Amino acid sequence: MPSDKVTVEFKNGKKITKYPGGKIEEQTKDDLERYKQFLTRESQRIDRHISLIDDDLTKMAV
Amino acid sequence: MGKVINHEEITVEDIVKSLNPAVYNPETGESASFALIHAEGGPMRYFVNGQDPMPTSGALLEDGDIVELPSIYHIKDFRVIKSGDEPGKLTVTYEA
Amino acid sequence: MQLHLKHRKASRILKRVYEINSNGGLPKTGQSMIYQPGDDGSYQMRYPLGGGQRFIDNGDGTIVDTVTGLMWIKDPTQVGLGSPMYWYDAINACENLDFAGHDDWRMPNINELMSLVDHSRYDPAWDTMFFPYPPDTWTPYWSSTTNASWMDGAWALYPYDGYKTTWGKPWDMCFVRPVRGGQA
Repeated sequence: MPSDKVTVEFKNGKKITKYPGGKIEEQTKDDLERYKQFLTRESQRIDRHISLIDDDLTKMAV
Repeated sequence: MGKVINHEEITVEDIVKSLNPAVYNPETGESASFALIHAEGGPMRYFVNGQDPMPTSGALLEDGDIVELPSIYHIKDFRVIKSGDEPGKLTVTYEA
Repeated sequence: MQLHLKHRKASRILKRVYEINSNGGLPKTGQSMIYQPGDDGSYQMRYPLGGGQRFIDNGDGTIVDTVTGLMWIKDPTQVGLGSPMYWYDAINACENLDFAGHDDWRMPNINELMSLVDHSRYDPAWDTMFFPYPPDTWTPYWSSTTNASWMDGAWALYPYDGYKTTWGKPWDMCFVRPVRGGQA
């Protein structure tokens, strides 16, 4: 649950977050798409490792 | 390559102390050609030419200091005395 | 051979250990923005103090970090390490590297790799004035540290934002940035 003091606005194709300390963070669609891509890639790699571990586990089954 | 032959521990107080010939130059066995001195406790002062140091005169030797005496002549002529209020202790390791 | 009397002061013996690690201790994260009073930007703890120059470019392809005392290869692509490699091959490549007059290069451990991350930057998470843009910001750099909870995995760091992850030693290929120095 975001704090009451942090405000979030969506306008002009951007997400604008204002922090109580005074900092205003702007994120564009591009910024978020890029990070989502990175997380997707990492997620795919993790899935690949999980299936490799599953392979090993199957081979270990007695 | 130095071989450790012996060691001694000396408490340093108001009287000038020198290193013990019975330890570094025993009648039987090897004599030392090198001594490694670890100082602990209160400050001390020393000379390495046979002269007696005084509480205010001599090289200052403090807790944690390490002194290397590279020959039997240095070992023979090493003299030390307490310089402050607390006594000091020297652990001397001899190498052949 | 001359035989000399020697006297080493205890205080100076201790100081020498600090001198090798000039400022000593953890490097700053790089963040200077304050999102919330009390956060990293508010304190900016660790070294170098007072915003001193942290990295030194030796001009021979090596960079020295004055906080950690480590020497890094500025651009691994210049020493034949421009492509991702298997972990074992990357270690061997570092061990066999002879560059800038040094032959004791090695693969950094995960703590050393993390020490380079500038948390105020991304894409890449380091100052490109000292370390050039990576060949691919989406491929991590290997560390020599194995993940204790999954021994097929070695810790690795993404250049994009310094994200720490474990990649598979037998299967994955990552970049490597050789390092030397630090105390053994």
